[in-house]
Amino acid sequence: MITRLLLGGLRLALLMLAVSFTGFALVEAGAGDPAQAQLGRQASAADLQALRSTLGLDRPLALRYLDHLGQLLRGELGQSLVDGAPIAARLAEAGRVTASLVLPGFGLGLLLTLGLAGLALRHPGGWLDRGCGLLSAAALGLGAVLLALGAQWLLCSPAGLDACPVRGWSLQSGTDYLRHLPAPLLALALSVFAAQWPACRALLAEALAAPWQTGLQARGCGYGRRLWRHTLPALAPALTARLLYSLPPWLVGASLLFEQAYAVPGLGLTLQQALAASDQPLLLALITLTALGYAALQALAGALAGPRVSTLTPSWAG
Amino acid sequence: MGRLIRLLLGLYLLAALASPLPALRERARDTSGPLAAAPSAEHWLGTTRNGQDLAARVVLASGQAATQGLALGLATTALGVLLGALARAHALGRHGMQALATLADALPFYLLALALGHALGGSAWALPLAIVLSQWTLTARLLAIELQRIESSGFVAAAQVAGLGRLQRLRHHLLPHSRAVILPQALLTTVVAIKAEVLLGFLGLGSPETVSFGLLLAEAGRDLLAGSVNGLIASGGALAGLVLLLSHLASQLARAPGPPLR
Amino acid sequence: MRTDARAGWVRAGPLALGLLLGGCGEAEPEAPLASGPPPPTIYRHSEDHAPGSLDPAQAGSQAAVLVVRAVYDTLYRYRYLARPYQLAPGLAEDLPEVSADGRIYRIRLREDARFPDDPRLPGGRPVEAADVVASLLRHYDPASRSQGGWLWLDRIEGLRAWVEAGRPAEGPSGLRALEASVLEIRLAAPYPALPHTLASAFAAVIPRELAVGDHGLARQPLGSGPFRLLQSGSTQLRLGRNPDYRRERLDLAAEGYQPTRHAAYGLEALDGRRLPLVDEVWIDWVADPASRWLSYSKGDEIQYTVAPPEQLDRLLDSRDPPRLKPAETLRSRFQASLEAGLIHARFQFDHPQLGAGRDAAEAARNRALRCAIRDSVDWAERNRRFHGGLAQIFGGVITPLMAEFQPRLLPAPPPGLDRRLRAAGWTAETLPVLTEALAGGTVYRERHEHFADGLQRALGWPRERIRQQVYGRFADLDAAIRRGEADFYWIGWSLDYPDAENTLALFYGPNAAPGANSGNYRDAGFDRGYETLLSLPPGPERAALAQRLNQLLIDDCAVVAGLSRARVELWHRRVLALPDRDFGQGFWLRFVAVEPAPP
Repeated sequence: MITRLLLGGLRLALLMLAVSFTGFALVEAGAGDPAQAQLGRQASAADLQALRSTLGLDRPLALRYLDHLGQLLRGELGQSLVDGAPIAARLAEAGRVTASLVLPGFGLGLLLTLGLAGLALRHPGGWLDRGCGLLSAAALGLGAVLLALGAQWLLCSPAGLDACPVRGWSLQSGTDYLRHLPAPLLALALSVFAAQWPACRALLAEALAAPWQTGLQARGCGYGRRLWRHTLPALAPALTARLLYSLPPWLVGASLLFEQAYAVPGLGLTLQQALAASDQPLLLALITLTALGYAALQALAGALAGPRVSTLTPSWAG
Repeated sequence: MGRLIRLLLGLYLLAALASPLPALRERARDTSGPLAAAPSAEHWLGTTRNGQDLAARVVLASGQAATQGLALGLATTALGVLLGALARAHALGRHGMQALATLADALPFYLLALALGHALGGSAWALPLAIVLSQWTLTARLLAIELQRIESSGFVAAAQVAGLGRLQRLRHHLLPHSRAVILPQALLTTVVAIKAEVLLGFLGLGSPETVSFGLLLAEAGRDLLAGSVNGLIASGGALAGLVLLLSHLASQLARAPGPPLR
Repeated sequence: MRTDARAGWVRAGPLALGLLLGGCGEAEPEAPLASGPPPPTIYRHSEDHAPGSLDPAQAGSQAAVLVVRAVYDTLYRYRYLARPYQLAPGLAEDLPEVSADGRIYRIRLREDARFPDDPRLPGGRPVEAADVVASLLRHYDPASRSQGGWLWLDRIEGLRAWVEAGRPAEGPSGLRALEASVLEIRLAAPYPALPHTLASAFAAVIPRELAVGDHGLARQPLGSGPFRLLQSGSTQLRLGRNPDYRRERLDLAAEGYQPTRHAAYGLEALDGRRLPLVDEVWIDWVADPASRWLSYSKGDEIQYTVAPPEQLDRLLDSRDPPRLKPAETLRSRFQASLEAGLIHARFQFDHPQLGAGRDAAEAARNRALRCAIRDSVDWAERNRRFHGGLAQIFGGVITPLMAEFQPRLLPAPPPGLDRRLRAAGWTAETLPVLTEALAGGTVYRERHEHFADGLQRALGWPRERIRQQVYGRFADLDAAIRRGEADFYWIGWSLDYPDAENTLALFYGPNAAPGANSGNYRDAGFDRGYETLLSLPPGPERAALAQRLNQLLIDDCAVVAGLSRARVELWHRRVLALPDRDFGQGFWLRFVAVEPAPP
């Protein structure tokens, strides 16, 4: 047992190492020159060279990676190259904002999927079932980009309902937050529904058609009771595994797209700004931490759900 | 339903066949038309703000998305099949594949695409590379499981007894019987490729070298500001149709019975 | 059973909708308490991109200039309404006293300017000449990563030697605080543009205690300007009134107010009021034009936007002169102003077919090719397609906002362009591959396609020999240009100050890549003329020389130029101001007033 744990730990450590190196190499290979970005359009060659050496950009890649690794192990993320802000604090704040955007969307989307599947499967192939299938197909076909734009147009624009603000996402006051939430919530929930409906419906349909249901029915157990008391609890492990696997990739894509579309100052927007400004330390921290968190979550999901569900790994393509 | 699917399939096939034609490319590129014109006999879907024929652009984007997406899907699936088969063929291959797949899965796809774009200076190859590098894992894993299932069935053992070598068994029995895994995966990866291009294009992070859906939707977004919805409806519709068609075909292929056991 | 379920669904429907829309609806503005202070007046501005750093030494972007000039003081600024631009004293008491030889500038500072109280400067204190000296010298400390040091390096006497000697404690001889409030600048040679450089955001004055070392100026500015930073994030920045700001009032006449030109902006009522005129300024950073337009249209969000070119047909009644449609005037005030800059295209002069050539024959051949490329551009159509038909087109690089401007249009492309190209020895077979370097993005791509179509039509340039090299981000394109990798590229240049020298410098030999002359243009005659120009005082002689140099560039087909865009800026009627995105960027925020919202 101990050997297995040790081996597992070792594998996780190796994975983390590989992930952090990949992230480091990609950021380092970037074509943008941080020195040029800092010194602007009139910089002289000598000034550029001096700044590169101050930033340590002229040292060998391996040495810089070791430095980076050391900092990471000490929990130091350094400071932004652009405005000198401590990166750890900035990422913590942006992470909170991202969570406030995507988690409610994911939760609602999941509730919507399961709730509708439960209602629809009372009469498989009925109007609700077919309608949900169509809705999911349409949302899937349109993709998250069009869903995001459509929800904004519908709920925020003077041509639509004109009911929600376009800009000013903030966690400072609860009412403010709630005023901004509906449009992204609608789009996010629909995009989750589109992606999860086919599989969730199939899982539920299979379970509802299983032989043991006949026994329940024979004992006069109604549909609602069978669904809530027996079927969903029985499906909980499979659903949890699916959730654990589909959440991380979905989070990354949703944060990138929806933060831009709805002006939410979270991790996705921070990443885009770091890319545009060639802010290497910030970029490095963002990519490495996201990848490490992602890898850790996947390892956790794998450990919880067993090897079988590793085939569930979905891809979220918007 | 079946008729609609066949019609869509035919249309996208035509678009794919037409997309390499110089005449179509020239028409899609030519900026000499009237600016932001409404649909007319000359321009069936109207023109863009830059005087380019919208119909030609939608056909070209559909054809290119289908062919390039499919090429990417096939390349990715081929990598997955190779590594999945390797994993079944050899213990070392299995460990290697698992290690690689774990690493690939540990890098979030969009992050990888953006980081590759950053590393390659915005090269058009960043997105295809990110797709191939990150999307092969599911195929490989599914295939490894499927191969194990098939191998444990009687007919493969019979083939082994009959003296067929490992490679021959793989070629003649194992791979043909796993097509219910391989073909849908290729189509689903195609969908991933098409949608990823759209999303990165929308974020302004794609590299629009060709006339793509990402480009068309970005143009349509600006036409919308000018009060014209033609572009959005045409390109959004063509995109949704292609994605739905591919998803539908994938699910059909996954359900199709395998070859008769021999 | 069935009915029950349906009833449940019907009940759940509105509930689900309610959940989705629950937080929507107009939030009631918080009712002011009867005895409490009135709510703050807020002006809500918008810009495309957030500034990376708010440190004056790094104030190279539009957004950074906007914020830096609102938070800090500069010795000089531009008059709010006067055009052409005129300098006005800011932190300085008056315009500088200049010695007869044009080399010594003496500047007296106002005595009522104060740095506010801050943990980094407990209690605050008056601004002194020594702060100006420290703020300028700070540009030469590599730790400040300055983008603005080039403005003074070879101008101020002894400055370069001082930098090269490792910045000894004794400052350079050309920059001294004579008294607490008197500054003296000695120049190596006459440099009439000096006061303009002292109005730039790079010349913003920081407390000298913060000049050395990292005091967080990049995110927490500390200046004596009309505003202070309240908060800053990736989507919005907020400024609040600086309570310590000197008692300055709006003097419309002194700012250049003319009833005939400025009556539409509602400024008269503001005359004599104490600055700044609003309590807070919120600036939203919105890259996406659609999202910006949506927010502007809502009425209770951002109050200012640059109209997207796509919208112009729906907004404007006429283009010459630009006039808003009546429906829009109910909501917005507007101006259509020419940018202080130009769009132009440059060649790489080290290129074998586009460049200077190895001998006279090759030089002539290459020049013919450059001229043909330049003359194939259909400027009027380009203006109509991409700049809403509002841009101004001109020959050369002296732009309409410069005193030296010659208001003469580029001639329409002369007929027989392709024949002249053949006469110079170019045929469809020998024409080289022309690769345009451009940044990724729909707009750049559309422009490339239009340009390439023009080359093909006017010159018979085979389309397969017109290529594009796309760089993902503008920064990548910029880096490639500086490395000399771009053969041909369109680029916009924003002026640092309204003087022809600023754009002629783009062709001065010693400024070659990675300097501003990134096309590596070399011409001995031009270089000599440019050097003379630098030392001439403003006047007819200097203007004539600048125009001759401009003509030299035109005759040599050294550049494809040019076009100055006109922007249509819109702001809500309640906002009383005349915004300025050019040399006065940021200065005008102190003059913005917002009328109370109708009940």
